[in-house]
Amino acid sequence: METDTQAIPLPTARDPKLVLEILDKSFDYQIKQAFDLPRGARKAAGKPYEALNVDAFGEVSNSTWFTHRNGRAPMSLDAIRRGPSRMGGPDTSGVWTVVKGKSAGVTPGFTIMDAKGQRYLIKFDPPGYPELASGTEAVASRLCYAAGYHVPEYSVSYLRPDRLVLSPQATITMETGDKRAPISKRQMTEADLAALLKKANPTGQPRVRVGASRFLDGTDVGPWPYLGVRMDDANDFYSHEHRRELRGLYIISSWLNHADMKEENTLDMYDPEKRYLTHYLIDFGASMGSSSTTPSTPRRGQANSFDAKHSFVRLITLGLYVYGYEKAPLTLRYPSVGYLENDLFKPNRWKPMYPMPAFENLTRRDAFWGTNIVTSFTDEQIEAAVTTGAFSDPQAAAYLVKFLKERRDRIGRYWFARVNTLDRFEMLDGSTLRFTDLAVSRGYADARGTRYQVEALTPAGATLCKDTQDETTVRLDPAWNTHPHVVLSLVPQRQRYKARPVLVYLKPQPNGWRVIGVRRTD
Amino acid sequence: MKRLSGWNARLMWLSLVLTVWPSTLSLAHESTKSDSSRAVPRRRIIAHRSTGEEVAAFPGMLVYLPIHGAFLALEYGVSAIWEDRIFDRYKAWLTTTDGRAGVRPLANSTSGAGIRFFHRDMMLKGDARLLARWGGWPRQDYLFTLSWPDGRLVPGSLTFAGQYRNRPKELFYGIGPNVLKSSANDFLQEDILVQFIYRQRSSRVVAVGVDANYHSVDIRSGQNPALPNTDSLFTEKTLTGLANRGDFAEGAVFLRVQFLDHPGYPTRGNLSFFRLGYNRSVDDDAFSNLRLTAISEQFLELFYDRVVSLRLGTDWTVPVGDSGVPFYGLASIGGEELLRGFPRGRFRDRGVVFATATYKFPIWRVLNGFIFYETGRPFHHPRDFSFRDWKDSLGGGLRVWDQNGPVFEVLVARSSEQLRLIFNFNTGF
Repeated sequence: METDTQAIPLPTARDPKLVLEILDKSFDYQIKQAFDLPRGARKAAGKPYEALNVDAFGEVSNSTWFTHRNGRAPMSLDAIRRGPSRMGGPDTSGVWTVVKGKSAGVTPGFTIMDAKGQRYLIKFDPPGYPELASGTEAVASRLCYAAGYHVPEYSVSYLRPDRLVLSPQATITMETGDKRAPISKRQMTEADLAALLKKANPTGQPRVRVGASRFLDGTDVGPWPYLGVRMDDANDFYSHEHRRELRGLYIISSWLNHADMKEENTLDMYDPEKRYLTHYLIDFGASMGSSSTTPSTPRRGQANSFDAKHSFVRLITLGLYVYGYEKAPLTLRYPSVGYLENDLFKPNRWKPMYPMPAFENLTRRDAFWGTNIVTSFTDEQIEAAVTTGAFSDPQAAAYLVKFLKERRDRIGRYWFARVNTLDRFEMLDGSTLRFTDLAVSRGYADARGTRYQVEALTPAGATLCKDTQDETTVRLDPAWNTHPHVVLSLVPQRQRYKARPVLVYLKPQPNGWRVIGVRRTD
Repeated sequence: MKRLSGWNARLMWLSLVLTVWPSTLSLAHESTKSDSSRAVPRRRIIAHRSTGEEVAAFPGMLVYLPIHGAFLALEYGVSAIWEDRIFDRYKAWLTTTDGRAGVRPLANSTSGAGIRFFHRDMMLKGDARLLARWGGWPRQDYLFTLSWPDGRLVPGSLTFAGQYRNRPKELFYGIGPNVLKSSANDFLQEDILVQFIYRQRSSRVVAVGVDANYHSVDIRSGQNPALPNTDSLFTEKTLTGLANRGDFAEGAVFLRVQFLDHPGYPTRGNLSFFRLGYNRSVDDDAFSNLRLTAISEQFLELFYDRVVSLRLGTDWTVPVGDSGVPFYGLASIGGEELLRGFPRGRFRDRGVVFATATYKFPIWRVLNGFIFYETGRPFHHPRDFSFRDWKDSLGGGLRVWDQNGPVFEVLVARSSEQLRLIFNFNTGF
């Protein structure tokens, strides 16, 4: 695998336009795919283009895109709660110096410098829904971090208006009311700060709950593209739609209902010392039960923002076909966690804001990769993550925990019923291979009803032995070491379940056997 | 080996060039960036498929290329509207810096193209508007209004309107329900209308009002060379109002009752309108008449924003003197609102009764589809009412709307006589 941390010059900052992105991915890209004959033929033959950045074990390496965390080894509850946080949120013991204000939009916000000199973006919860955006962002970002992605530090904090100080250099962006130039920027005054606080804290509370995200270190060079590579990043070898961690992100996003997937919510940060880019996912305020400025809706995650297929179906059926999300009532049991329902959720039908090329290229192997991560989260870990949302109502927090557990299990049950669930191949003593059936170990299949078909093959494909067993260990015959390597074909057998084999490549060594590769044939 | 013939060979070369070209580009890119002191890593992209597959994809990509070009143009057009706000800039360009006065374009299939001038907060804080529409010269329509919204000048809203209309190709088919399409003839109608309207809202639901009008109508020979002139087929004796200029003073009262859940996209509720006017002839023609209009539309949500609306209405002109009702003042069906499958003025008589059933359904957030069925018939007298000879039309269309109502509408209406395409673009400015 290539290393992607070689020094590169500072790339030019990207500033993609959302409308162009939506149109391009919703229409142009779809038509292009339809005319891509080899791609269509491969899909029809059940051999779609697999992800490129995988090693001999079908895994991605730790990189500037992804770091193996909970999916590989369980994180402690403290580590889950801590997430990417190095500072533990802004320092609330001293003053916060406001360096930038934003009064445009539904919720106001500003950038502050805390007593430790750290810069944070401070966002208020939407009017009428206290805790919604701040709590959601803290929880979702921690789960995404624990899944392995690079995310900024998000935390729930408390602002004390009497400890706010305005920097003389502070600027503010405001709505002008002029549609030609709706936003203007100028020097921020005390009156602006007072007006902004009044908007965010109309009742004049001495302590106001806010969401705080620490500014990332390095130079912001804009979002990474969803399609192709960043041409000014020589470390970017693989088209993003063919990266496994981005394809597999579909499963993690569907779990978190992080439908607000758009290029704007990604960020490349350039490290001026090491001179390479790190690729981040940012802004989780519109995930789970929140749409950032309002609670989520039944439609979110069920249809793209402009869903050409759904619109077309409505048009040709004259509206007689009604999608499930249109029928679902918008019930808010706990406003602080927003709209949380799993009844409509189908793990393979979940949709982000607009079609994301990496998600469109999702294969079963990618889905297995993502499902392995999602189902690696234990109930306790989910509960630990939800505590970081600091929800004042324990029942609301419990409801969010229930939502995440249910959704995780739906994902596990769905995808593990469609792929070979064997993983974690390791030699016990040089002659015994042990594997784990993730569906069984994570409670999505019954161990008593599961058997394993094991077939040993020579490099030429000749069968050395074939057996069906209950155990998850395979004893390797020393006589096989006359071959340069052998291949073990392993298939779990369960009722109403059919999977293709996973091939484990084993090489004889002086002191036993070594696993040299794993190939899934799903 | 068989030699490739002309086009095949060219295609092969093109494939090779297009396959090799990107890699050449990346090499060129690398060479221009190479700087030994900074040790820029080699630019490399791992291909997701073989060269053979790239070549196999080439024919499809050739077909896709023009589509891609069209989409690029569309995308940049939408981006210019949305991101670069060209409509807002255009609007600002057509508006004074204080935003009080400006000019806007208009377009619909009824009146053709035109412009609208406006000047807010002028005389006694009234808002002035001038609409000028031309549906192909010499068809002209000028409407000037000066209005004072609720409470600005008087407790209710007050509007003064002055209109000049010149329609040189108005169609006349005859009177009654059984006039043939082939009997079409044309006339020129020139109108001057001066109107005062006072409206008082008693609540959010009910509004009552009065209006006083002066209306002058002049009928002359039509200008459609393909049709006979009305005055060549009829005389004043056979067609009331043909030979004379009519001048009328009208006083009317009206009542509007509206209880709708969403005025822009009603799913439940009712909208009703009643108007009773006395139209007094102020010259010697004795064409005085009473005019009664009653329309009621009920909205009913079938399921999940799928809405059926039923509209029933009637419009009657009853003569007060002995001279009858001038033919241009008769109630009529056909046009852009009633029985849209027929042209305007297709069926005329003293009274019309009509009903429209519309089913509308959501397609996207601000886009609806709708289908409709309309039926109606003219009657000479209420006692003639029957269910025979009713005319009907049906059709459907698309409507872009915002919270205030339709912004753009395009529809197709079909009757036993013709298929009509109707559009209406309310600029939303």
